[in-house]
Amino acid sequence: MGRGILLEIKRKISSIKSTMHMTRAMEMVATARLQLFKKNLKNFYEYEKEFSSTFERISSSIEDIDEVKNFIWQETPSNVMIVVIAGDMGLCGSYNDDIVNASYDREKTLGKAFNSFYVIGSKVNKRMGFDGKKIRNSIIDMYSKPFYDDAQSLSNELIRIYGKGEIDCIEIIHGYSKSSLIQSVKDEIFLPIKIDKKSQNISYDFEPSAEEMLKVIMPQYFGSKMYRILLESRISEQNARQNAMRNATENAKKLMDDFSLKYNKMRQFYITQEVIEITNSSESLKGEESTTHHL
Amino acid sequence: MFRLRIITPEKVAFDKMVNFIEFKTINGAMGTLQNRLPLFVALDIAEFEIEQENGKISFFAVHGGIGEFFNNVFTVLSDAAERPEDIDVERAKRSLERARVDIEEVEEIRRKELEMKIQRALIRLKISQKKER
Repeated sequence: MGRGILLEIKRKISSIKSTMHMTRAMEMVATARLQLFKKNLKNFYEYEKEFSSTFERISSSIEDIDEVKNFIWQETPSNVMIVVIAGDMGLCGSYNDDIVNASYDREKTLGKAFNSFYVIGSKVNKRMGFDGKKIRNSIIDMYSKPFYDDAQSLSNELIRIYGKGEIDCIEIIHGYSKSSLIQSVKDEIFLPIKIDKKSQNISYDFEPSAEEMLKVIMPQYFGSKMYRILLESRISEQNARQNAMRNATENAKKLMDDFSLKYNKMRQFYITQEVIEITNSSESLKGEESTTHHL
Repeated sequence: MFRLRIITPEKVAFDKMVNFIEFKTINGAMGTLQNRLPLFVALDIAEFEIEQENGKISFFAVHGGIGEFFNNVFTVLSDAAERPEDIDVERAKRSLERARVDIEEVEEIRRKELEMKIQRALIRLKISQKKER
């Protein structure tokens, strides 16, 4: 009678078990990827830090601003393109949706100044297509490992779009990991550059002139900035995935415990019931025998 | 003597005390000794010659970037910096040939990219011939 229910529970347990295997494997993959990215970022971080500070020093010693004025922040922009960077794969908790929601919020606050979205990552692309947003371009399948060259060509592409003059500001919204447990969303202005006109007390020799130099190193600067952003967002994605998968594995373990307890209880219940049935019937048989004997 | 640091996105390629360095800016060749005035240079894709503390001369292929001299530290920030022994000569030759074929049939926008590629390959080949002295 009760065998059907027992079988069902057993089946459920085995299905949970195989899901658990999967989530655990994915957690492990995420961990391995994370290690790789962290190693990359560690090497790269020093470079980026040096480069940014050098770039600031060069840009603050520019005298003739007209030469490079296209790239320099002057007034509040009126045509903003938002670059949204998120993952190509799901199963990472709310990572992708958090980024999309943040970009929608940003679109709302910009109002008329908003121009279009530039999307990186198929998840965002699908969702924005569904919501009917204005997408200028989308890049998918860049996820597995961000290469420096990819970042360079992406930033060159953005500079080219900016150079056409339709838009006057590029913002990047991407995932950022505050710690391995807390993932947040960061909103950075990619172009134009804000120049800090702090008084610079060291007078440098320039070879060539500061304006010329700024133009020459601009692609390199934006390339390294882009690479940092890509790495940061990938790290955040893997962190989110690791956490989501860890939670899933733990939940599966708990479910399995619950179900096996239920299974054991049920089994014991049926055994007890059967034993009771057997003893009862034998008792009653005994009773019958004794009465016949008396007669 | 001053300190020379060559930093690329992958690693810190060089960090030692040196006597003299010679490099090529986009305007021409240049060299520097210690106690120079603060300096910024835009480097070309070219060779980078270093005379180390012990008088040994070594070479790098530096692929563009910036150099900054300040307070007796020369910092080079470049996309890539390779020693002669790290260069894959066959690969450089192949990429040179490919770029030379491609450049014949490419439109104006991509030409600059290919020219850079050719220059990179050429400088790699040149540096790979050099030996430390």
